[in-house]
Amino acid sequence: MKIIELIDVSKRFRVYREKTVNFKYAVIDFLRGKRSPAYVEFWALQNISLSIEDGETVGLIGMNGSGKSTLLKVIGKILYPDTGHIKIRGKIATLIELGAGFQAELTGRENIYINAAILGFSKKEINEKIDEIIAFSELERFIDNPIKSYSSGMYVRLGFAIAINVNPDVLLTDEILAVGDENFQKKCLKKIEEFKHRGKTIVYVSHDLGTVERICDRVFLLDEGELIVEGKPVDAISEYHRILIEKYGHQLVAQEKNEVASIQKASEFVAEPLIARTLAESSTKFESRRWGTKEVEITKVSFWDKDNQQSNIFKTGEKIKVRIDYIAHKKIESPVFGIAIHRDDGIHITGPNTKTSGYFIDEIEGEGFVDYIIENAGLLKGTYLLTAAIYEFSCTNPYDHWEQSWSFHIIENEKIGDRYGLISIPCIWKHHGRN
Amino acid sequence: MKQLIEKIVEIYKLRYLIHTLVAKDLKVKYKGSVLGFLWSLLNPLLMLIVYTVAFKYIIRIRIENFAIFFLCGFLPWNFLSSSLSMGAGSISENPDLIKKIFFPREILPISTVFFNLIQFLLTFIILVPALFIFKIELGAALAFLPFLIIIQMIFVLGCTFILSALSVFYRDIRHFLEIFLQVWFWLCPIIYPITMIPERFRFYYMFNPFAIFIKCYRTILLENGIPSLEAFAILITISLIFLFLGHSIFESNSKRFAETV
Repeated sequence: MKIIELIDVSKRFRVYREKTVNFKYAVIDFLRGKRSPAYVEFWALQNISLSIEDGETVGLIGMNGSGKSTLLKVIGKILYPDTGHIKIRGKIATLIELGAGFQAELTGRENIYINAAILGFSKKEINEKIDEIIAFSELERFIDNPIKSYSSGMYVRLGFAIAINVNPDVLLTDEILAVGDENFQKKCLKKIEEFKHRGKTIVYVSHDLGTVERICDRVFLLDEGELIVEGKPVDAISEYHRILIEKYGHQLVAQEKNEVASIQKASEFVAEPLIARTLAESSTKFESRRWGTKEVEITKVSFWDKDNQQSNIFKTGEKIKVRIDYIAHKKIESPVFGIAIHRDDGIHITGPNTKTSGYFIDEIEGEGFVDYIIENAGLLKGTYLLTAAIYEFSCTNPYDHWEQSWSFHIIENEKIGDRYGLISIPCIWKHHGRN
Repeated sequence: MKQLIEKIVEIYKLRYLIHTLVAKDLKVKYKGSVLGFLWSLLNPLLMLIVYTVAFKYIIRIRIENFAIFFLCGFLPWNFLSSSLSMGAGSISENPDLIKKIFFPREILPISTVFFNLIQFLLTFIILVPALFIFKIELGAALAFLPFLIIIQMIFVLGCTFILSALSVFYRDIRHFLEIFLQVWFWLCPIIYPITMIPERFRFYYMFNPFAIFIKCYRTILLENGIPSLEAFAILITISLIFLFLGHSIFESNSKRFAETV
């Protein structure tokens, strides 16, 4: 039985040349007797037709700007399509942002009533659920305090507890599980799975492909407003990776100090906070992350892939080459080149240098470069930060040290099954039955 | 027509939401202030004192029972003007709700109007004792008061729909409204009687629907009289026209609220 059905749905957005359409323009246009083009149009969704069965858990994936959030809002009746029809049966709860509409001055309990009423529930339904909501939020002690005294984590917990406990037929969620501490995230996921087992319908938008693969029965892949793949999670996700590389792989040249543009391009598909961070670092904070006598300076760091193309996206298990360009202002004897790789959450993964690797450089003068080559980068999906440095032989005095100043991304490799943990270690399994 | 009935049923079903939002606004408004809802009474009371001093002792216009005369105009006016200025922001000041959650958007202006209606009714706490103090004779005409209030509410709702929808797209409307309300205040017989308007202008003066409202309030409360059928007919017609017009403007624009606010 179809619970959601979209027929040929398109949504157009207008990007206005100024943030607000001024009354002024309306008056001026009226006086001039013609309309000036106040906006640029683009189609966020184009001819989307899909149907979702009762009890299905469906994932919507795609790059930022692909239209997946717009699609969710159109299904949730927050946005209206410009063409096409939408048929929905049953009660929908949309969790696009937890705690939207919370009143800071009022208590947690009062906010439960308001929020649940906005989500469309009656007083009776809320009264029946309120204890469960409070228990789930783990805020028993604070529930009668004004929520302005809550931490952001408490805020989110309350928001999720309300939305998930009001028991809709269809739950639409957008990236909400990215918040809260790990414990609460687990609890939310458990609740979503429980919801799923009760035969409810879920539409889940996320960049977290691991979770999408785990909980979804079917996945829709969107690209530039079009529905391009509809199918099993594994198939849609690998197609997504293929598009990612095809579209942006070659454009994502190594991040150079001035190449803000390339970073912006990267921001189109990598989670925003990371990019905000690298962008900030590359422009302003760079200097504070750099120290040394500068008798030798690192002039450039670039990343190269297995085809010797500049890139900073790699698949797990592929070759990565890091090239460190330098200029030595005078003759330096026995310099030591080193790098370090940290995951973006701060975990130090490796930190080799030429000396510890038993590779000795007699002397340098003028320009040159050093390549650091990893044949099989066993790193799993994530964003990594690279440190590059040149030290004198004792490794105590730096000539030039750039701490965590470049980033690169690892994406899943369909040929390597590993996806849990930090690194992929080649291994074999053997089974011996007792008989 | 069928759509309209469906809309009314839909909104009636959400009466608990309206109730909650009105209660929320009242709570938020008075939370943390010592005098609480007394502030809602103090405002008209202070205005009453200011205008009494100004008109009775400085400008010296002789109006019988000035306090009642003033309150009969000022309290309904307050209901109108605060609904409009609050209502104009009811959509544009709630982007969080509009962008993130679906619910019939009408709920927001409607609950603003109900919020102000409650404030209006609370101010009767001043009006009723004043009626006794000035020994105003009240009678059967009072039965028409609720009816008049309901008509005014329909009128206010219609205007609020228009303003709340348009101010999403035209931010200047709210600035314009501030000035407009001041002008409108003086165009209403709130602090002066209609009889002070020169005879030859009076016909045009009565094009201001709110002048008719105030006239009716005074007929009921001050003169213990029943407003003319003609006046009621005009008010009902105007109010319904505003409601339909307002709602259709609101409805046709509401589809673009989420992408504009």
